Amino acid sequence: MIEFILNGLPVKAEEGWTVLETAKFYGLEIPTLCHHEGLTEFGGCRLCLVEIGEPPKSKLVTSCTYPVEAGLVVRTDTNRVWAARRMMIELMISVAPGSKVLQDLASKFGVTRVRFTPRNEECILCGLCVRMCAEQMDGRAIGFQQRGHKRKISTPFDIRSEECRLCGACMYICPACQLRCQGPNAETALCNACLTMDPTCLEHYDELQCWMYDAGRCGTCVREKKS
Amino acid sequence: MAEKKKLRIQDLAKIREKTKSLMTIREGKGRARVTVHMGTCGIAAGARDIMDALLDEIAKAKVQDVIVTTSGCAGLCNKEPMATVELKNKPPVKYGDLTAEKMRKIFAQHVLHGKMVTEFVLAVGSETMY
Amino acid sequence: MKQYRAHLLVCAGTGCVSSGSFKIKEVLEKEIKKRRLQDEVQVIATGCNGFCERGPIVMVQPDGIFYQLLKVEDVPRLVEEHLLKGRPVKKLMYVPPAEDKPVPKMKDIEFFKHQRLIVLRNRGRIDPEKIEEYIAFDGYEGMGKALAKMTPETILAEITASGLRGRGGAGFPTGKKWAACAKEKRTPKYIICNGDEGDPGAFMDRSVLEADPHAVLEGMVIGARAIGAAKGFIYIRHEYPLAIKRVEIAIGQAREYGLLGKDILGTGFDFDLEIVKGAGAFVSGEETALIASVEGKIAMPRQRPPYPTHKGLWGSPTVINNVETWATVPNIIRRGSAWYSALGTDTSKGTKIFSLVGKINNTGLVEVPMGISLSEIIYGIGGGIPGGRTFKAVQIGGPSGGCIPAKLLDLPVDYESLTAAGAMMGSGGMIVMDDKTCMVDIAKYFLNFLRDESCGKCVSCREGTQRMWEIVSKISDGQATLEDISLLEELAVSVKDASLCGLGQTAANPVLSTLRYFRAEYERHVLDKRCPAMVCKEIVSSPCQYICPIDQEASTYIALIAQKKYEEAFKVIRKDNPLPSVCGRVCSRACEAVCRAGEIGEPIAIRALKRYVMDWARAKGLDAPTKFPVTRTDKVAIVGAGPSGLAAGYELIKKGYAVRVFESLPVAGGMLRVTIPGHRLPKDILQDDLDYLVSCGLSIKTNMTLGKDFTLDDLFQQGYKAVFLATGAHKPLEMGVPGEEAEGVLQALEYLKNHHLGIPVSLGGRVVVIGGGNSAVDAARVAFRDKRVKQATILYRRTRKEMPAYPEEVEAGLEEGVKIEYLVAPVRVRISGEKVVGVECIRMKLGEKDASGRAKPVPIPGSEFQVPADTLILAISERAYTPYLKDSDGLTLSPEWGTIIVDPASMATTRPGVFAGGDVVSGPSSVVEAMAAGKTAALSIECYLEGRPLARPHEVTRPSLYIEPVKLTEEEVQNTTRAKMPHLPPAKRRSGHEEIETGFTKELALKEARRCLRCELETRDGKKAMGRET
Repeated sequence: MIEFILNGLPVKAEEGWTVLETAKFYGLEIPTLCHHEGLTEFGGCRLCLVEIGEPPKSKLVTSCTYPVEAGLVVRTDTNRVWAARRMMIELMISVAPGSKVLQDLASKFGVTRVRFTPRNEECILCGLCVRMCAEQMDGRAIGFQQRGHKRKISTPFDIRSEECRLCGACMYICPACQLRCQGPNAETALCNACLTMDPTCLEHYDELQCWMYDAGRCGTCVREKKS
Repeated sequence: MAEKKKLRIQDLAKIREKTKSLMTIREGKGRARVTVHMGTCGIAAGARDIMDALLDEIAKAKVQDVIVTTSGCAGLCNKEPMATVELKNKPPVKYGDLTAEKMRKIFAQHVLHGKMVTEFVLAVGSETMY
Repeated sequence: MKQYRAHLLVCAGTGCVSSGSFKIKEVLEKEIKKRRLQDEVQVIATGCNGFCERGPIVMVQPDGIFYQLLKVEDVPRLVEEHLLKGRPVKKLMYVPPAEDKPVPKMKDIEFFKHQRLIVLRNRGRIDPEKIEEYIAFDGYEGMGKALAKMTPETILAEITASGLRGRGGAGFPTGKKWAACAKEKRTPKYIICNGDEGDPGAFMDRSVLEADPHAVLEGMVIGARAIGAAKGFIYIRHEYPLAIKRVEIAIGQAREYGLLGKDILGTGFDFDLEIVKGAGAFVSGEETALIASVEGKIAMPRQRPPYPTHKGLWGSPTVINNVETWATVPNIIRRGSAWYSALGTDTSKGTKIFSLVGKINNTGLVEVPMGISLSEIIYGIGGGIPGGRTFKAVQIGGPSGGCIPAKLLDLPVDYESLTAAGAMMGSGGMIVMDDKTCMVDIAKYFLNFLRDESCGKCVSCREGTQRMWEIVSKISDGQATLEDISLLEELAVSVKDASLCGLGQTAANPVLSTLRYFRAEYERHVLDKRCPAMVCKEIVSSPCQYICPIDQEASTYIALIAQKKYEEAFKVIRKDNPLPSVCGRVCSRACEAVCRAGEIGEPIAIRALKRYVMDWARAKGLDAPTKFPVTRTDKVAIVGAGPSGLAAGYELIKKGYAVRVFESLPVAGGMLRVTIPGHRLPKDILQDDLDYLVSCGLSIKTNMTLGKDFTLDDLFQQGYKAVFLATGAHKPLEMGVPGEEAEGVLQALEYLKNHHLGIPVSLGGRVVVIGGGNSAVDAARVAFRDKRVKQATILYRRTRKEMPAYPEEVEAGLEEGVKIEYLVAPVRVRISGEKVVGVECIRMKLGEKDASGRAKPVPIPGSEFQVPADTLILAISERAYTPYLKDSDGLTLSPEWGTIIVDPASMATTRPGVFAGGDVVSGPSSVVEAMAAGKTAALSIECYLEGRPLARPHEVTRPSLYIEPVKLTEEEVQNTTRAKMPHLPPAKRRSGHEEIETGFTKELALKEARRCLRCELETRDGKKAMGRET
């Protein structure tokens, strides 16, 4: 067993666990996007950042890839972590404002403005589809191409792949092309509608419109805690 | 110098002495050694033309005792192409900003007749190895 | 740490070697050991220092004493007398001759003499494709020692004790890294050499791999022994084909000799190397990405821990180090950790290679001990900034590094101090920048590089670099707001915090460090839409228009001339210039100084082209004024009908105000009328421009002197609501020598004014003028045209190069027969009775540079001589003078300069409603600057009268229209020389005061106009206008 400190509490983890796994085990919530239990870790979306070490030598690392170490000091919700998280959400929304998952994250973490010109691209390069295709579906039909701002996901040479069995797993897992918000159409990149909706969406629709992982809590309740 | 046997430590010392002496211009053996600096910077600046000009002059003059060798970048890249001329018992002379024409003049005046071409000289002597 | 009290440098250049210096060295060492001095005195073999005729030479440091022509039998006496008893042996000493040798010695050359070569020790002296030459200079000796006489533990101990830190950028202690890997039990283990050198401007690793590849191989064998590896890889970027070739040859030769492969040197140690070529990514220089690349995967970094020393290549323990680090290792083993750690600072040991590039005189690779100051590298080794320009910043550490500004140049170069200053040691790239570098543009350049090279995994890096680049581009385009700068800073911090690898974590450094030291420059781009270095194209457009104080669209009217559309060209000039014909003759032409054609040849003759158009328009009767109606009730008074007052007046009547200009002299025009000679500015041309303004509705009343005929208060009482003071700066400075007040001693400006007003002036046959500015030259040339004057001589205290007068005026003066004597200063005026008969002078020589950057002239004692003169004209300088102001007027003056203090933006004085501009505020300046001040004041007065705050809209520079470029012939494209202005022949000039420049002919004007590079067509707007969408 490996012992370390998580948010001030002493915790024990198995050898080979990541900080994220340990946090989940203890019921501590860390937001993720490119993480999926059935797939290998990627660490690209940077949402699951936590602060390790003691200031001034502390740094931010992704909890999904960081292996537990004895004596590690981890804090999941500091100012530095939240500032980084918010900026990641803002950056991702400016790329794919149509993603409900991202809009909900924005509401949850109090991201109320997007100061970058929206690109309306829909892909945030989280790599879930690539890993899904390779690891779960054994297809390996798609992958990353290029690097930097030209990076994209496609089939080799951008032509129709013979490996692709049209199973649709990539679409299923994609957070950007998941269900569009059924709520009011936002005119700007950032909707925040559920954040400001009064009355709540349940009073407009029969079903909860947000797919945030805590059922029963839509953005309106978070409004008070917006920092 | 071309034995290809596997070396032992004592062999290193022997090779050292032997090569050093060959690199030195001794009495009766070789009148001059000309090094053309051919790092990528030198080559980009035209060191190959310098080399060709030098070899051409040597062939025309029919001399057998001028050692021509190359080395990598000499460090002062904006003066490339550079060449170093070392005459017997004289300090090495570094020339900079060379052209094929200047190299020919240096060969005629300095290598053959022992007189430095001062207007092309960068410096005399070599660097202090700490 | 051993502290030697003396070093004996035995020259081991070829000259000395052939006279036996090796034997001397051997005997010296033996003798020193015999005397038990080996811990105090060290013997070192050095390269040739140029005294070959006197070899063998031994230099004793720190005494600096040379011993020459040494023989073996001299050695014991030398050691006993000098080293033990402290008495240098005079008989053996070499005293360098005192005469000036014309040929510089290597050891005296600034570039070379400050360097300490360890990694580069073989540079220039071996053929890298001959292993024997490497061995000749102690090559593979360290490896031999390590394999035969040391254990892995002792090797580790030595590397750790030396304090060597990784030279790839991060500076991690090498010994610590190796020890961590050595501790691992799992095999196989690997070592890797990182030759992926990706920083723009860095080429140290390339140089080492090309010039001395065996040093790297040797280091790797030693490292492999220390950690227990049997296989190594050298990762070289494929853009270095020569390096790859030389390393391949080196590996081949080393294998042949049994220095690589199985049973190296018969010691039983196996190790072999392989080259892996990079595939063209900057990120593969990051160690985990490089490992992925060697494994055949895409170069993407991964999280650490686990570190490569634990789980690296193929999951095995791996040590990866930079080329420079590996090349240092053999030297440490060969000479000992104590020797190495004696160099450098406490925390940063040894030497570092920097690639010194950019705006620097001596570019190249320099290896210097850690702790050397930046200014020593830049000004000592680098030789300073070319072209006499000013140093602005030095970028250290490539795209991950930052800029260090001038005020921090005394910073010692070591890991900690560079990081504290916001830069980074990095791989050692050092890019020097001068005042023509824009720091916003630099940040943009590096961000563009990084957004291309980011591997793209992390949102923070991939999106962050892209968005940072977008914002900085916006700033560079003059389209940003202050909020954009705040957003940039916020984003930069997030990118730094949230990224996985070194690329992302340092991607924000170019932005953060330029913001830290050059925030004002960013703000100028944002608030004023100006780029001080004149680099950002979208802001500057045409430099000529950008720099013009009155916004003349030079490239537009020149383009129209090239199209032969002279009337439209005239309209473009007229719309922004109230005195266009005047400017076409005498403008100081800031535009020509920044003309881009001037960077590759001669600048376009912009002023001459403007004159051509104005002369053409005048000949055709086209310059017809339109009277502006008075639409406003407020009236404005202007004091001074010089260029500043006239420009302000014109702008105000255009806006509909009633304006009256009060001029003290009997004529309007200010210095244009009474100082600038007719041979430069014909008085009828000036009159045309003045008449135009009057016809437009500007009322000018001459012979009205403020302080005499009326006061400021009077003006307000008379109903003027605002006053603009533009009385100029024409009080001459005293020379400060006795006799100045004598008869026949004139002040230049006074003389010229009297001459131009027709007031008779008494001039003698020999006229002497003191000074070097335009007034001096003007006065001399006007006097020399007088029939009474037989000789005109100018005496200037500096050299011709430093004369502030326009060079072409000086040239013309000399052609006319004016004499000039340089480096002469007056001591006293010689008088006979009351009249001047001459001036006693003293010769000067140039000494140290003063605050203005010019060498200060100093008198040469005893060099006094006499210059006979019938008339002495003093033209030292002038200053502002406001005798018409009383304290009760409520204005504030500068005690030092006598100028009126104003708020620079609004030109308002300390008295409400009173504004001031031109030379009376700035001191002596140019015509066009005075006009610009007048234009600004007019706008300011309008805002004041309307009761609103001054709002000067800032915009990027753009022409009012885009003209199709003309099609050029190949010959025209190649031509970079300027059309020559025709002049009156010198013989004809002295007879009168006609204009000596006769003006371009139609052909010359056309030819010159076609030479314009049309910079305004390079902006996005310009391209769009031409249908060249990008």
